[in-house]
Amino acid sequence: MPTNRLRRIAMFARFPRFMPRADPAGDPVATLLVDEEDEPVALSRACYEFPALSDALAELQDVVVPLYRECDAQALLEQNRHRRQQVLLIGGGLMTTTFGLIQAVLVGQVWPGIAVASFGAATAAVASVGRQSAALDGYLTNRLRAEQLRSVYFHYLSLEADRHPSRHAELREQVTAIRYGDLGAAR
Amino acid sequence: MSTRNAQLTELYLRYRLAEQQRFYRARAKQFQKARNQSRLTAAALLSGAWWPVPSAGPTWPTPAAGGR
Repeated sequence: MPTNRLRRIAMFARFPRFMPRADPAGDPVATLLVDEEDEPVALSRACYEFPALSDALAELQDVVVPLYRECDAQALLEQNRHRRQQVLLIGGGLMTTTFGLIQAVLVGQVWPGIAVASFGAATAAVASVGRQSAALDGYLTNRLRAEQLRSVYFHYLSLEADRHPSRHAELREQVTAIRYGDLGAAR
Repeated sequence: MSTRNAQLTELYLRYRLAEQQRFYRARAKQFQKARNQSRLTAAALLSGAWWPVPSAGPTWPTPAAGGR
C-alpha cells in the first residue's frame, strides 16, 4: 500500500518517512507568513501588500527567518527520526512475538527460536541507538526554538521603529540567544 | 489609526490568525476522523463478523446465568 493511501487512515496519519525529503531547507525568499493555501508568502509580495512594514519585513527576513528555517528543518528531521524509531520498535516487538507463537506451535523446530533471538537482539539494538540519539529531545528543543523565533517575528513587526532606535541590535541578540542558547537555562 | 497600524492589523488577521484558525480546525477534523474510525473498527470487531468462528455470546458469567 502506498504511503499516501496509508496516511488516510487516522492511525497512520503521522507515519514516518523512511526516505529523506528532497528539499528540507525550504524557499530562502519565503517569509513566515502563510496564505490561504498554506503556501509561504514571498518577501516581494509581502512588501508590496504592506509597504509600511516593508523595512521591518526585510530586516526580519535577514535576521530571523534563516534561523527559523534551521530550527524548523532540524525539528522536522528529529521528529521523523523519533517516529521511525518507535515504528521500528513496534515492528520488532511484533515480529518477536509472532515467531515466539510459531515456536510454541512448532515445538520440534529450531529456526523460530533463532528468529526470536535475532529479532529481540535487533529490537534491543534499535532501542539503545534511539536512546543515545535523543531524537525526541532534539525534536522538542528545536520545535520550541522555531516557535519562539516565529513569536519574535510577529512581536518585532508590532514595534514602532522610532520608539526603538536600538531594536535591530536587540533583535539580533534575542534571536541568537533563542537559537544557540541552552533552553531551560536562565538567559 | 496610523497606516502602519492598519497594515499590521491586516497582516496579522490575514496571515497569522487565519493560519492558526486553519491549523486548529484541521486538527479538530483529524481528531473527529480518528474517533470515527476507531468507533467503526471497534464496532466491526465486537460484532463478530470478522471472526472465523461464529460468536457463541459472552464467555463471562451474565446475570441470567447466575453471575453478577
